[in-house]
Amino acid sequence: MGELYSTLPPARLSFRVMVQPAPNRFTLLEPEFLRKLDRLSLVARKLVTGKMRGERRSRKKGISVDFADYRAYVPRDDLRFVDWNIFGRLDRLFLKLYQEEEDLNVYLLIDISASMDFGEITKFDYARKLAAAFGYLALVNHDRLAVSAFHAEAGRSLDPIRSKNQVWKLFRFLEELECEGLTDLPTRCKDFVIRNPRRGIVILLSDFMDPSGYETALATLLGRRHEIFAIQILSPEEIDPGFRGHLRLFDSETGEEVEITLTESLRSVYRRKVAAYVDSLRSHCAARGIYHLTSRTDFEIEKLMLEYLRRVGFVR
Amino acid sequence: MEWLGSAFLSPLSALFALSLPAVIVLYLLKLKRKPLKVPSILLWRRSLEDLTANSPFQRLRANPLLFLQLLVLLLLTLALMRPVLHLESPAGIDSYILLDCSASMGATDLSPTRLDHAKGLIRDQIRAMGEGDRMMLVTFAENAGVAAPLTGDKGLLLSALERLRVRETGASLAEAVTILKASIGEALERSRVFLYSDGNIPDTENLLPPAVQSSFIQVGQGGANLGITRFSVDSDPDSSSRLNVFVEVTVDSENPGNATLSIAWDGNLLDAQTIEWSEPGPVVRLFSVPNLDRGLLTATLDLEDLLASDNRAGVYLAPPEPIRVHLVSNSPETLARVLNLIPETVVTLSAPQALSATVEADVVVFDAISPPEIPASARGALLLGGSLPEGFGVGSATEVSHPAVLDWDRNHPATRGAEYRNLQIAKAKAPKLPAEAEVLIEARETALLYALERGERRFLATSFAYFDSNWARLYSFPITLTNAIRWLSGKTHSLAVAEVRRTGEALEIPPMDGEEKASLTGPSGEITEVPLRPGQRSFFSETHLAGTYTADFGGASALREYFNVLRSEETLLSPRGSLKFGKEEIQASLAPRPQNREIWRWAAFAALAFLVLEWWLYTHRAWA
Repeated sequence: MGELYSTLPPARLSFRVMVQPAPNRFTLLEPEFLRKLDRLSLVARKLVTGKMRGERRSRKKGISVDFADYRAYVPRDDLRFVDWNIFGRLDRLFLKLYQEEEDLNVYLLIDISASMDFGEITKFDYARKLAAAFGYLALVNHDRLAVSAFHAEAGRSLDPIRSKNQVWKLFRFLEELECEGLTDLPTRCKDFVIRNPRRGIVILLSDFMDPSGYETALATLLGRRHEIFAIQILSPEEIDPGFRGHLRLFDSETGEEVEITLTESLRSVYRRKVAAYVDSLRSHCAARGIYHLTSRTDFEIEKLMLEYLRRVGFVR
Repeated sequence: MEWLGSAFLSPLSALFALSLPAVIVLYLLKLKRKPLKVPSILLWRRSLEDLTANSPFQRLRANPLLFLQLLVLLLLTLALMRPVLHLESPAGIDSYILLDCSASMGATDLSPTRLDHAKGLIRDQIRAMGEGDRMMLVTFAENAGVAAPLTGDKGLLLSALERLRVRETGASLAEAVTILKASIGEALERSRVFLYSDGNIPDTENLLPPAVQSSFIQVGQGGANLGITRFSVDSDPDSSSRLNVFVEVTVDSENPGNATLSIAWDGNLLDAQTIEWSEPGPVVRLFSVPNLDRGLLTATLDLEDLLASDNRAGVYLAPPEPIRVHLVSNSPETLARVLNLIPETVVTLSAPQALSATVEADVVVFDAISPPEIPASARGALLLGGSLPEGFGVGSATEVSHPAVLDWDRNHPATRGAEYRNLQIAKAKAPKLPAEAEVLIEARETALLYALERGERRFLATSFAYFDSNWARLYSFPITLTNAIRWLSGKTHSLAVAEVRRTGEALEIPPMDGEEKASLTGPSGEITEVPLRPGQRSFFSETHLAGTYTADFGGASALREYFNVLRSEETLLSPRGSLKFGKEEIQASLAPRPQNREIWRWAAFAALAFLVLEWWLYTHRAWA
């Protein structure tokens, strides 16, 4: 990692080296973890097309060093790829085909609505760490990475970056994000697909707690034939609330209130509702070929990336 | 609204219906809730759809429980209003409590005392009073008083009852019955009389009680008691320097026993005797003690029995100043000898012509002399055969020969105890007496001895010279002289003896020049200010407790009197099983007849408590 961060501007060095992180300062990822991520890459199950030739073996045949096949010459083919040895023996023109290597479009969509700012380890911080890890993974593999953070009113985007030595841009972008506003997944996903027409892997980090629903949003992304990773982040406190008594709950986004007397029976009902909500998202994703993962914020990111996601084939 | 008053005994209880909106408010009541931020209330809303949601002043739902509660409250309101059917309207009961507060009610055979026990019974009776019932508290000892007028106010009755204390006097129902009759008036039907007493009331048979239902609640169990019932101190006839102390102890005990009776002067033991008895009755003891100076002479029974107040009697001894007698006579030998025999007198002599107008004497005796004036310092004058000066309104006299004694005043202090039947007089004068003159010895023709009073001064005069009669040889002569000197001087006692007083008698305070009030301290230490009237005697009658009463006059010498119980009917503590009240004999009971006590209030309060508990459980069941 030393050589990676040595290329970074000195002003950002103290932040990203993270040798001695200042107390209470948000730390994205530990250097040791980043070193482990160097050996991994995202797995795209479907063939996806990048704009530039990259390090990923594409289904398309093209220019490369790895031979793939021959095919008969047709007019207007590039004569540079004609196999003249075959022509000498067979007197027929054949083109020599090589396995083309393409780059991969990796899109990180981060929900930064106010509802993400909850929990002892906030869902927002967890999402940023996950985004940093996925983004780093993409950049290490020379994939084309674009990041979009959004809430209902507005969003911020990081223009596509491709090189590992641009990872500081990613980290700075993530660091400067703030939680605010309402959740509006359908609108923001629609904006995203308009601005990013090229297919790729879309990693959507959100709690999916959108009163208007997540179905439209996922359908919009699927419409562009993106390969979608829907990662739902929930805090332990909202999965199993520890408080009790007479409470006036107010929504962190809308400010709406609901008065409850939190009893064991109501808590039990609530737990069931959370489980049902997660299950419905999982079923929805499974039916549409979307990767789905629900993670609690107290689950270690390192373990998630290095063990769990490898096991399920999300990364390798 | 009149129908409301006629259909319900307690229409004001309709105010209880105000609890109906209170119940509704309880259902609308907003709980105080702790605010808490959550990422989204999406799932909470969905969860609450399964459970009852709480919200501030939620819409009143058709809750069967609410309707049940409202129904119960309506019925409770109706019950509290005491609905009636107009068959016959029962009026409340007027209870008249006659409570004996005499000395015997301080006996400890019932714990702590009989009076406290009776107060406990009356307290129960007050608490059991129903709506419309009233009660009047009349206390009696030697006098009666209204402790609480006829009222339905239980608080007032209870506080009046608490203030009652034992009066260590005798018991008399006469005044109480008078009060009772005046209070009951015509309301005989609804009136009940309850007499709380041990029954030791001497005057009940002669009373005409009101014709109402009466109950006699016997207070007391009886038991052994001794008490001093008579106590007197007199001079010893055999020795002028000694006093006889007479003590009668009444024994109220079936069992034989003994006790010590001791005589003390200012706390110093003078003598003691043992009293032994084998049956109830009086035991008499006589003590001879030296003539004592000023101080408290007490007789004390050294034992612990049921009544402590009758175990001690006392009297303050006040040795009188000797009576200064000045005899004016031409031949004073006989008279001077007689006058010198009168105890505690100092006799001085002078011839008529040597009499000074400024002579210092309490009594001046003129022997067959008509003085032109009576010395101003003399409180009284005795004229034996002379006539009073002109200013007294005694007219000129005619001479009478051999007047015979017709009658004499046996009650006057000057003639008390004397016999004048054998008095024979050779000659006398018959003066014309003023109308205010009091004839003490009367002959057909004239007044032989008469008395006159001018303000505080007293005068006695005979219409004959003693040597013109056989009086000097009769017993009545020294007796009359002794009586006359004492009466004229205003000093009725010759020895260091004061009158033995009983509780309830008035304490007499002599005229105190320059003092406007006396501070009177009773046996229990309470201090009463008694206003004094200039030049007149004042009286303090609140002497209900046995013991010493001290009147202080702002630094001047204090007046002390000891008041005693000295009543055999208070010492005899055996309660009576019945009481003859007028012509009717009332059997005693140990407690007033049980009365119906309304307990519907408890049921109503229990229902209310149940409602509150039920509501609380309903709204807080989730805590379980």
